[in-house]
Amino acid sequence: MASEEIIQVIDAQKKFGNNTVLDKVSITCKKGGIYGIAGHNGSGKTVLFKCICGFLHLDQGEIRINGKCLKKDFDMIDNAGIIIEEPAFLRGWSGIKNLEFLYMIRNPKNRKHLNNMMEKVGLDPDSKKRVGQYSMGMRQRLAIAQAIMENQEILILDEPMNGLDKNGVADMRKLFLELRGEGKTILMASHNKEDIDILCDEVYEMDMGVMLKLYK
Amino acid sequence: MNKAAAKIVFIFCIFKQKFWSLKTGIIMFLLYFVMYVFLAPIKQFSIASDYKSSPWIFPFLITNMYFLFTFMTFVVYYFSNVPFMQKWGMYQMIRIGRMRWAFVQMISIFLSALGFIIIAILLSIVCLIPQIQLESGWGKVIYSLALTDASEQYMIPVDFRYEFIKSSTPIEAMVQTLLIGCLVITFLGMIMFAASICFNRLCAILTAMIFVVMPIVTENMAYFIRKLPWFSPISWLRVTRIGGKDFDWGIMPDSSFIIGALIIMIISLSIIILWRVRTVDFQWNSED
Repeated sequence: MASEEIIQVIDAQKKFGNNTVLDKVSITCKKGGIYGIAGHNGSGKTVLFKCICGFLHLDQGEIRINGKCLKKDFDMIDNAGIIIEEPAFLRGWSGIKNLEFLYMIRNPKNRKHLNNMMEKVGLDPDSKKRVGQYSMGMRQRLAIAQAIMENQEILILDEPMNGLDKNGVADMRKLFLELRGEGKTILMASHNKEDIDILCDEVYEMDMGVMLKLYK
Repeated sequence: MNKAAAKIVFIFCIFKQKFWSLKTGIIMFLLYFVMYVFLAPIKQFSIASDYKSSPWIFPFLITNMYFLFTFMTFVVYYFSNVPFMQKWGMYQMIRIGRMRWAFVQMISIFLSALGFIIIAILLSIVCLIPQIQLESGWGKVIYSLALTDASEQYMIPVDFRYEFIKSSTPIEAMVQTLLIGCLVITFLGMIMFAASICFNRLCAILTAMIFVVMPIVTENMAYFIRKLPWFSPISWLRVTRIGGKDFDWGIMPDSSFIIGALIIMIISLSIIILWRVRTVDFQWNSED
C-alpha cells in the first residue's frame, strides 16, 4: 500500500437496528488533499465521519489510518482535528478558555499560539464573552480553531462553513487551501456545491448510506 | 509541566467543571433546606436547654432513613447525566482515547463523591448556627438526646444511639462517615455509569433508585430476614448502626466488611466499565 494514503475506508458497513446507515462505503484520502463528501441530510456522512474517528464501530469493513487498522491497532484516531455535528463547547467558559482546556490535554501551555489561532479564524482572543453567548458563526469559527490548533495532519470537518457569513466562508476557504498546501489531509462534508467545487480535489457523493459516485 | 502533572490538572479540571455547576448549586440549596427541617427541633432543644450543640451531628442525621433516602435521591440526580456523553466531551475523547476518557470519568465520580459528602457535613454544621460550639467531645446536647426522652418531647426525627456515642469519639465517627459516605456515593455513581454504558440512561437511574429505596425495604423486612442490611450498600451509610448488637430491625455488618465490600464492588464496576467502553458506540447528546 502506498505510504501516501492517509485514510482508507474499505467496504464499511454500519447498521442501527434494521436501518443500514453505511452500505459498503469505500473512500481513499491521500496526503495533502482535500476530499469532499456531498449528500443530503441522512445520507450517512456524519456516521461515516464518526466511524473514521472511532466513536462508532463498523459492523463490517475496515478503516485504516496511516496504514494502521482502527479497532485492531488503535481504538481512536489521535492525529486528527475534528468538527462533527454542531460545535459544542463548555458554555460557561470563554472561547480562549475552552481552547486552552483542550490544548493543554496534550501540550504545554501556550497562550500566544492559541491567541494566534483565535485571530486566524476571526475571533477576539481577549474577549471574555462566554461560548453560551456566541452566535452560531462564532461557535463554528471556534470549532475550526479547535480543529487546527494542534497542527494535526488530518482534518475531519462536518459542514465546516455552517453559520458563517460570506466573508467568513471566504476566509475559511483560504485557510483550508493553505492547510492543504502544508500537506494536511482534509476530509469534509458539505451541502454547498460552491465549497465543493472550489476546495475539493475529489468528491464522493453519498445517498442513503451508499457511495454513489466519485468526481475528480 | 510534565505529562503526569498535566493529566492530574486535566482530571481536576473535568471534576471542577462538573462539580461547580448550577446543578450542584441547586442540590446543595435543596439539601440545606431538608437538613434545616430535620435539625430545627435540635436547635429548639439546644435553645431550651441553654446548651449549644457540638458540630458532630451528621453521622446521626444520615442514619435517619428518610433523610438518607432524600440525600441519595439528590446523589442520583447529580449523576443523572450518565454516561457523560455530552457533545463537548467529543473534543476531549478524541485527544485522550476511550480508555483514558473512561478512567477520567471514574476518578471524577470519586472526587464528586468526596466533595458531596464534605459539603453535606459542612451544611449540617451551618444549619446549627448560631446554636453551635466547637468542642472535641459529643457535648451535652447530644448526650442528653441519647440518654433522656428529650427527642420525643421535641419531636426530633434523628436518633441518637448511646451505644454509638460510647464506642466512638466524634472524630472517629466523622472520619468513618466521611469514608463510608464517599465510598457509597462512589459506588452509586459507578453503578449508574456502568448501567448506562451497558444498557441506557433509564436503566441506570432505575438501578440507582432500587438501591436508594433498599434501606426502607430493609428496615421493614429485616424483622424477617435479619441480615438483609448486608445486601444493601446504601444502608451501610447509617453509620450509627454499624456493628450494633441490639439493632432491633436487622444486623448491620461491621466497618471492615463494609469498606472492603465497597472497594471490591467499585473495582469490579471499574473493570466492567473499562471493558465495555472499548466496544460501545458513542452517541453524543446535546447538553441537558
